[in-house]
Amino acid sequence: MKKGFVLLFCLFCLLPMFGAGTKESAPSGLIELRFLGMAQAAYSEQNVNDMTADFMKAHPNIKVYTEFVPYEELRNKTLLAYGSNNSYDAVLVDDIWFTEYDSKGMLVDITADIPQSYRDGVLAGGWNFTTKKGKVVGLPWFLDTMYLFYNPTMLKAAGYATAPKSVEEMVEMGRALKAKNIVEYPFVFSLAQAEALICVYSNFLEAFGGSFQDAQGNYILDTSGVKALEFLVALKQEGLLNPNSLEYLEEDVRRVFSTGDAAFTLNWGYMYALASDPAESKLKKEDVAVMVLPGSKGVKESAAMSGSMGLSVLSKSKHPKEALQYILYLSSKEVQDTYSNLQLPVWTASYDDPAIQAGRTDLVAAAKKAFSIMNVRPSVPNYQEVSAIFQQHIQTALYGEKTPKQALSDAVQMVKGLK
Amino acid sequence: MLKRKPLYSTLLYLAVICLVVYLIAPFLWLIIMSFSSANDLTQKPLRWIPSKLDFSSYKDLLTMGINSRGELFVNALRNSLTTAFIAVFVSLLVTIPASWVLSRYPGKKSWVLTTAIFTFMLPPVAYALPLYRMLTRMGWLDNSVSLALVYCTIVLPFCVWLIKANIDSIPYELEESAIIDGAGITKRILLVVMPLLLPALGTVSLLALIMAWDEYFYALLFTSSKEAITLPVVIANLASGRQSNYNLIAAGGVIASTPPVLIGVLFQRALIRGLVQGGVKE
Amino acid sequence: MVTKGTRWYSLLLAPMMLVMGAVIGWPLIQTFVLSFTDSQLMDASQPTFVGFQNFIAGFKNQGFHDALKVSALFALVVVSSEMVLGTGVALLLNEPFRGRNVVRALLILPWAVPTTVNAIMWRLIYNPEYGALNSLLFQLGFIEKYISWLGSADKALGSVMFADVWKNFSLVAMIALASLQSLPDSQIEAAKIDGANALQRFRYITLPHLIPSLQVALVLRIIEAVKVFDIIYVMTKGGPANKTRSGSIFVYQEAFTNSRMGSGAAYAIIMVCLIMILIAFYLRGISRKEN
Repeated sequence: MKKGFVLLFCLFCLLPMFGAGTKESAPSGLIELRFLGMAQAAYSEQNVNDMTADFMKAHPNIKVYTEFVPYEELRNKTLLAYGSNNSYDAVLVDDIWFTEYDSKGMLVDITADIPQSYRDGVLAGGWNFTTKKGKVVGLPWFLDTMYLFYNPTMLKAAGYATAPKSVEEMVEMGRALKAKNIVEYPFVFSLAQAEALICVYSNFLEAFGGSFQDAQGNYILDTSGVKALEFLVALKQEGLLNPNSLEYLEEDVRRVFSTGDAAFTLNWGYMYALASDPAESKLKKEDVAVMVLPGSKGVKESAAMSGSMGLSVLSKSKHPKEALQYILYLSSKEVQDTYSNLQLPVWTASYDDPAIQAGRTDLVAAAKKAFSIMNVRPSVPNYQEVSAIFQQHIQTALYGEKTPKQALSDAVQMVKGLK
Repeated sequence: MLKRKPLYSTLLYLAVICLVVYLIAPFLWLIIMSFSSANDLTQKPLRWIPSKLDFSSYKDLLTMGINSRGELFVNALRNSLTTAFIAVFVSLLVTIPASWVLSRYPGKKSWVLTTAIFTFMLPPVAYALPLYRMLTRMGWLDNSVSLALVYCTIVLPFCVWLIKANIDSIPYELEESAIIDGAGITKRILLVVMPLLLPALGTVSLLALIMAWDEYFYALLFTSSKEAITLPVVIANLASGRQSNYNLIAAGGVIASTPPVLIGVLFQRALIRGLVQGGVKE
Repeated sequence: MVTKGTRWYSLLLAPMMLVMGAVIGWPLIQTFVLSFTDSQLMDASQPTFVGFQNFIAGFKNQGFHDALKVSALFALVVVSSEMVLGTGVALLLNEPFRGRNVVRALLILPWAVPTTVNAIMWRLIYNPEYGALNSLLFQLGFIEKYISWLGSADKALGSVMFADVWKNFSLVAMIALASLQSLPDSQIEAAKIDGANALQRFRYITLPHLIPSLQVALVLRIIEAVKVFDIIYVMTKGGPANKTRSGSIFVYQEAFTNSRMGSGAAYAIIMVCLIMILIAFYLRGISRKEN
């Protein structure tokens, strides 16, 4: 036992060592900001830290501490920290949370403080999701949608030279790919019980001409959304959809596509560069193509949903002016153009910039198209809970435990019962 | 020793081999994953022996650079140590005198013991909400010391239960002779009971340390930045399904397991003896 | 006993009572009070009193029923598996064989691995594309196609339970083994001389000796299993389709994710009452056995 205590004592003495190198107390005049971003996002943590380092160089009196959490924790952490006296100064906000945050009075109104050049230069769609009740409460940081990624090499091997023009044609291609043993499961989607599932579903909802709510804000998925869900269920039953999809998030889907185990998938723009990166993927550039999801024949030409994110200053920040400076910097044209290899900028002019377009004309073209037609998920303060209910019920239908119509009816019933 | 039937021997050794595999295979695989390259880990079918050794994940997690993943991880390591030590220290400080009273004067306030054990049985969600509000109001979120105090909810009852049982086994006659010599309560506790209690205290504190190291729920709720975040939360975030760098996750897991596994392997006998004695002597 | 100096006793008990009161007692009372209000997570304003509304809604909530079922099923399966496996392993390790001390030392490994590490370790092993389990079973010819362990509605909870048993059976085994080691050989020898066979020896000598320590293990494990949050949350977050959502996870989601503290508090109180009933039954069972 004596030996043990000596060991423990030594361990205990090591503790102060770990304290070295972290936060020293700030000299006077130094403003400290805390930023909460997303881990494993398009702008990688390294990217954001590099941007932050440049910002700090230009503003020697400001020090920014960045933290990154997975998407699933981002909202929780923001709310939890806000509820304490330890709020972040600036945070990354998903477009589905803006309504909720704003209704809770968490976001600073920055309408008056945005330079005109910003107003004019940023894509119109960007201001849509960051403006609530006429006030601008966030800066759009990236617009994103789930594109349809497909493998043209596989399609060619099955005899298809062009991209599918409709969802039905896409399924036909999938059937042919499976029949010819080119790939066992042509389709893989991120259908785990998470927001990613709603994004995928929402894309197909658009494709079949459905919508979450009617003009009065009532949920109509039990009628309008059945076709899209039946489509997904049929894909699974026919053996065309990778059954592991029900466990997958975006990174898993990217991996499967990148190892050549899928021909079609839906994912965010960040996947484009990684899918042909030899360090991350077995595919070559000619094996990766991207387009906006085609719509159902006769119903729609293309479909897209909005998965954008913005930067906001929280109302409990002690340095709102500096925080605004920081987020204006992060979303400025120069910074976005520099780091645009994984994420497209929000500036209109950038889309015509040959440097940005280089090597990914199809992505840029698809982005331009998607951003002009994309539809949003319900903008309600309790979206988090609504989405959780839909996720659960859609999964129930995918597991075959309920028919799509029954699952959606139950879901809408439950959502109606929320206060 | 009697000669055993060969069939029995074979079955015995077979069972032992199965047991050993069951015990170490999962963790051994975790260790192997932690120094396999990402490529090896995404082969189908899986390669069991890595083609090359890749320790980059360990480097990544243990190197400090401003705002880096390593900085977060090392800070979490420090925070886990700090929080665990403070929680155990505070718990022992308050439970030793209390346990002595509960042991020597069983009639009085035995409800205290029952309540202590009762609270051990409650799900943390039952008092997490008001605790959160309390800490918020006092500005004590994201703070290792306040987290350690919260950890007392799980460590305290456990300590009381075991220490009281251990004091029970120290014969009261020893104290009686001290009383005859004119010793007051302080002398009795410090000079008679404590020396005999030390081994058990060692055991209890080690067990409590392992419990505090393991804690996830409170850390998830009450910490957010590298100021106070603990290893379990960092590990869980690393593996949250958005990370497909398996060897990084595995490396994190191996590092986080090292202290408790070390303690467990070194002090196994003492730990279990302490646990059994405490419970059985009830 | 000595009656003078009673003030001393209170003084010695005071620090512990203070800490417990501050971090357990007071919050518990607050939870109780909160459950009768419609308090929201971030609302600074005074919450309104809503009487038993939260409780009534809670009792009717299907999601809550399912969550309680998950907790109950989890506790039942996990604890019984651990008890049986742990006792069996202890008996095995009580037999003499070469290398026994090494195996005994290894026994603590699963228990020492932190719960969150255990959860991510098994997540990696269960991975549907690259996990060790699928690869092993496939290469040994047991399965033809890789299985989605944590993504299948019917397999997810079982997979989580398997992971929990791996970590915790070793605690039961160590406790049982320690108890077995204190069983005097002479008793066994005497029984053998009297002609008792292995089964009889186990039933009349070994088992009764084991029971007190097994009870300790049982209590420890049941308490933790019923409260289960960490391992499930890290492995599946309660999915797929809420199939692994335990009572604690449900309450957490209600109070923190949906920001409804009042309602969450009510659910927590219901869970607490159910646990108290469980404890009452257990204590009744023990006292009856002793009589």
